Amino acid sequence: MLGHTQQATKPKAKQLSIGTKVNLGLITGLVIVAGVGAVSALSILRLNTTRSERTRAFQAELASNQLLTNLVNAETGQRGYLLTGQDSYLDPYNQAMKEQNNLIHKLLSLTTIQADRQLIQEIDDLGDKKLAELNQTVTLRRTKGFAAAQSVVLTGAGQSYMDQIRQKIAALNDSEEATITNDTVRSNQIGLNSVLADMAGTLLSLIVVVSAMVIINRDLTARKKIEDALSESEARLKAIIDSMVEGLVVANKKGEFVLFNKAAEELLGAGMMQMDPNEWSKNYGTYLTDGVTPFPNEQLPLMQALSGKDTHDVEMYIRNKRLRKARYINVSGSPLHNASGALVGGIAVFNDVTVRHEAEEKLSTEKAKAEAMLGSIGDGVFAIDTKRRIILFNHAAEELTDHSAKEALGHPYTDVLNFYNEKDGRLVDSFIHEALAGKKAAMALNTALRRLDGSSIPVADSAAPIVDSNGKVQGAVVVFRDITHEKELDHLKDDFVSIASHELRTPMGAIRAFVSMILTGDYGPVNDNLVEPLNDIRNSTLRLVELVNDMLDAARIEAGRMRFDLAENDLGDMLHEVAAVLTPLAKEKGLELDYHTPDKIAVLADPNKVKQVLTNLVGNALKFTDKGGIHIGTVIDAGKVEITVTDTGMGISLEDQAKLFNKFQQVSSSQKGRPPGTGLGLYISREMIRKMGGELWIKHSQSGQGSVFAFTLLQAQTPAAQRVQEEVAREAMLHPDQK
Amino acid sequence: MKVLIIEDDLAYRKVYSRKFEVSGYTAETAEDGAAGVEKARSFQPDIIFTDLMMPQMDGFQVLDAIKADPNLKSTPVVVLTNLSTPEDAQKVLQKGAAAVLVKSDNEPQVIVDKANELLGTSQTT
Repeated sequence: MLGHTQQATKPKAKQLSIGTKVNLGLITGLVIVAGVGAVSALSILRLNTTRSERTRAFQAELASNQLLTNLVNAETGQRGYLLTGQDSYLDPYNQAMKEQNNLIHKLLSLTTIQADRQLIQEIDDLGDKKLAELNQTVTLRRTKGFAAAQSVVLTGAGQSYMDQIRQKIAALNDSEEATITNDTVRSNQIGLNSVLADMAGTLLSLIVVVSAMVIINRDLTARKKIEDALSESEARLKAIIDSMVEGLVVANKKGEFVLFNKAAEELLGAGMMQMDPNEWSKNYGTYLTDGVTPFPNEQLPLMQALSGKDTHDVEMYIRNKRLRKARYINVSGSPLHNASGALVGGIAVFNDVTVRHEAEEKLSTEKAKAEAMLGSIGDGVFAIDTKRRIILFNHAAEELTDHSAKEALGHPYTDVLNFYNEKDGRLVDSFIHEALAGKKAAMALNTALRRLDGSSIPVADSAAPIVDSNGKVQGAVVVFRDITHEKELDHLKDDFVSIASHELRTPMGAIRAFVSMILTGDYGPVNDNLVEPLNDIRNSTLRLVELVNDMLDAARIEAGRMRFDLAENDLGDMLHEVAAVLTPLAKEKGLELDYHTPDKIAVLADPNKVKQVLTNLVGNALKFTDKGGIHIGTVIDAGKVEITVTDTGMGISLEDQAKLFNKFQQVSSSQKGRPPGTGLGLYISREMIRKMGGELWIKHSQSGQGSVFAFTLLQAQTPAAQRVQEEVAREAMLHPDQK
Repeated sequence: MKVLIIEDDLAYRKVYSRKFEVSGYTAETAEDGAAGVEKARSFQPDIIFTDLMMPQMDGFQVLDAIKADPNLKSTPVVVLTNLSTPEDAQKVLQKGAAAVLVKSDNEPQVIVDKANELLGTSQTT
């Protein structure tokens, strides 16, 4: 079977096969027998010719003898009549008369030899004369009596005729005898030839047949040996095939199964069952991998193999009554050809892939889930490997970038999308580099994504490293979202805040003015009992104004719309101004306010903002301190100036410290009698200090033991100061509406 | 002394005119820029206070009109505002304003004090 058979027969391909030899032997024998037959037939034909010749000669002799006999009988009858006168003696004469012509004609037809025909004519004449003489004597006896007739007989003429006739017939017979003798010799010769030919033919046939038998026998022996070897190797092959894990099925070109190994029986749940090949799929219960759609029979790899086509790794689901458990199999098929290339059948090899298939199914379910999740989130998500090639690209990323995942996958991300600063056009990629270096990083502000059509959309978010189980960075995930709407909302909010603030400030300013004018007596004398409520109205109005101002500041600073006039300024001047304004207030409360500063400290600052921060911090200190004083100190360190505001007030609990910088957050503990703030002051102060390159924090505070607030400013003319100034200038450019 | 207050907000018009009157000024008011310029020509004030953001003519245009009028160009103009940027302040000062004051941050007395300062007088209530 299989290739093995092909190999075994291959070396014999150039010799004559047994069949050919048998056929050749038979054909040779037939040719010889036919030859012999032809020779014999010719001989027989020739013999037949010789035989008819001889028959003719015998017939001639017979006829001539009959003629003579007739004449003798006629003469004998004449003598009887002559003696008795009775007519009955005349019968032979009448017979001879009647047959004379017939016999002569027969003799003439039997010979073509001229001499013989001459003799026959002469015999005829003599016969006629003899019969005439007999007639004469008979007539004389009847009319004139015995004596007259006797005289004629005694003339001896009749006797002479008879002698001559005998003589001629003898000559004729001699001639015929000679012919017969001659023919017999020839016919004997022909017979011998024929026998010889027959013998030679038979002998030759015998030789051929014997040789053929010898050859065939020899071939059969060789074949037997090959077959023995073959069956041995076939047995070995079968053992191997049966020990295979893969199922193996071989069918001949008619679609009849010729081999089914053990694994095939197990995997298919049944062994060889001869059936219409068009029923294979149905009878073995094969389905597409969905498990329900019957596998199209003509697509079966074995069917394909039988039509000469190779198929590889076709997965199918198999389920039938004989199988304990339905399973997935992977099938490949190949056509089988004999040594001369003709299609002789097909082979299918298959193995059980149920475990793998189920694992894959689970994996693909997980993958589908992950993809569905990634696809359904509105943020663009893509992942890159360490070589910055895109390995994942979700649906939102497709929509945001105008590139399909197909176009994006495998390409360096820079070929597909670019993040750049929407104001100065510089590439924004440092956050991705940071992620690839293992650190989660946010996109810079004002980043935009350029799309295929040249348009751009403002985006924001971040990049995070993809770290494997060994802690090695394998790539980065970048998340970005369209913030067009957020930006619009931001603008709306800013506009709302500034318009609302403006609209609020006008009537509030008027109320404040009215109240203070009433209190100063501009509208006439004020009753004493009205002074306190009018002062309350005034304070409330002042708080409202302060709140609106703070809200406006917070909104502006968040939107980058707060203007910073950064320049080299002397910190001492600012401290001095603030102290000058607040010292009277401290004195009112009986508190000390002192500050210490070296002669000149050049800092990078917007003096108004620094004064605002100082006023806020010192104001708070004054508010929460009842005894002792407030001290403002400065320390210069490493390009920075640290300004501390120390009070001897009530201090702030750790719990409150944590919330103090949140918007609208105020110290919660009992604040009886203290003017409430807006809850925005510290938040705004810290944001302003940060914008100027510094930091603001609670350096130390403990309940009941006072607080130390600190903030830093950058010394002027330092590289850090330079960078901050550039950054602030850039933001000023982005927001021409800064105030 | 005569003061003209150009202000679209009724409350401020009343507050400021009252404050100036109790301070010994003769005060007139106008509720928009165009009316203000017209009144300035007929009233011939010694000092003008004008709001910046107003309908018809805003404070900038009022400043331009007054500085372009030969009879009025030497009259000091103080710009009152609630919401101004340093640029705005810079701009009005360039156009010849004598001072810029933020309404909500200042007591009405501050405004009168500014007028007294600019006019070199010290009128008392």
